[in-house]
Amino acid sequence: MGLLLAVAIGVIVVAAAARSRAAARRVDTWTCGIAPKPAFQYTATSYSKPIRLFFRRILVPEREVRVEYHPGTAFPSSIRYRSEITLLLEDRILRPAHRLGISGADVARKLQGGAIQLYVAYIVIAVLALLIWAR
Amino acid sequence: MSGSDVATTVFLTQLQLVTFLVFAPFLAATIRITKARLQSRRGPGVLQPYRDLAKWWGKLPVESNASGPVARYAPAFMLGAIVTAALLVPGAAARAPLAGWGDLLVVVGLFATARFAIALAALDSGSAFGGMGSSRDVAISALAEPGLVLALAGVAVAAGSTDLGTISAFGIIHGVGLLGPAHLLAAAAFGIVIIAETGHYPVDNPETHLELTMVHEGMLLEASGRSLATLVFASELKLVVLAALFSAAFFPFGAATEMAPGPIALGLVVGLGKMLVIGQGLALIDATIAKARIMAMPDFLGLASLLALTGLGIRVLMP
Repeated sequence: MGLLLAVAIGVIVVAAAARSRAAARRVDTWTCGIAPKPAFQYTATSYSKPIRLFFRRILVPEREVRVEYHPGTAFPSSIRYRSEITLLLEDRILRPAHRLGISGADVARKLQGGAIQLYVAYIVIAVLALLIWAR
Repeated sequence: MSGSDVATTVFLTQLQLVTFLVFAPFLAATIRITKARLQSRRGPGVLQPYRDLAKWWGKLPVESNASGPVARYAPAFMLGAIVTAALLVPGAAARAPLAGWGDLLVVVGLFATARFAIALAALDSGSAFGGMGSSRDVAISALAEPGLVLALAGVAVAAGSTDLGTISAFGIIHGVGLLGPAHLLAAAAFGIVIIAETGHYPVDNPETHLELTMVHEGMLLEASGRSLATLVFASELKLVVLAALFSAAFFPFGAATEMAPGPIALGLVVGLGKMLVIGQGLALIDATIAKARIMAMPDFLGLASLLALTGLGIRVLMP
């Protein structure tokens, strides 16, 4: 609590000192001479780009950039961007496990067809196998 | 807490506050001067950082139309967090001025708080440069933080406490015997973290304004006037606090163990001397190696985590 208080007091003192001058001059953000647009801002995806690059072995990021040009020029008419990461737990562990479980259940359903004769056959085969093994 | 304890706390807090705040721009100046000399330049005078701060403090600020209260209050918030961290780290004595108010994990948390504030402020103006610097800084610190915490965990395990004063006192009692392999590995890891946290080569170039490479500077681009002065001063102070944390945790020799004028004065001089040595080390690295690509950061900072983890492993498995 005391610590929070100390931080709060420091912030108030410095903020008050920093605001004691006349109001700031307000201008557009410098964007290299172009009028600034909201699209220039960093999005959540671009913000996390370095992390995706650093951990690319784990995240395996994928990206696709498709550019269409105005015919005969170097000016793009449309740019499509798609990016995706591999979700380690979901794509590499949970989905394969789920697939394995389903195919295992498929096999089990074929074995357990519901015909009593089939079950008797299984028992006969099992008994024979045991007799041979225990001989 | 007895009366003399309160008096000690008040005295050490005042002493540390004044010396650290006054010393921070000086340390930045010595680094710049050495770097310039090593590059055959004359370099700025010792007073240049003070003059810069005074100049910015006196200027009328220019704010972005897009920015709001976050950019306005974040610099003060950042400085507040760093100053608080400064008072939780032992300086002249083997006891933090605000001992008992927070341990090393609180100091690490306050650094993270300060970074959060400046990262938000950089985004507030809506400039791509601010976003770029902010995004890179946060990513780099995400890699550096494990090294920082693991290196400090090593000394905390040895001392049996996360209280920095206890760690310092433990180090002083053990003397040179403290400097075993585990200790030195953790110290090396912490050294790498200091480089990354304060934006020196090969992680960041503290003097660049080239948009492709800047990390910390990118976050300051839209700041001006008193906001800029506050942010730059907070960064200079952060180096002082990290250097103090480094000496308190790894090389606490010279710090006063008793509260008498003589030992405290000696501890203060030795402490500031150690900071100057750390600063000269940073300047030497700055002047002699090239900046690495940002893609090399996982290797460089992974090395810090690995060294710290090895040190911690040695400490736990072979006590």
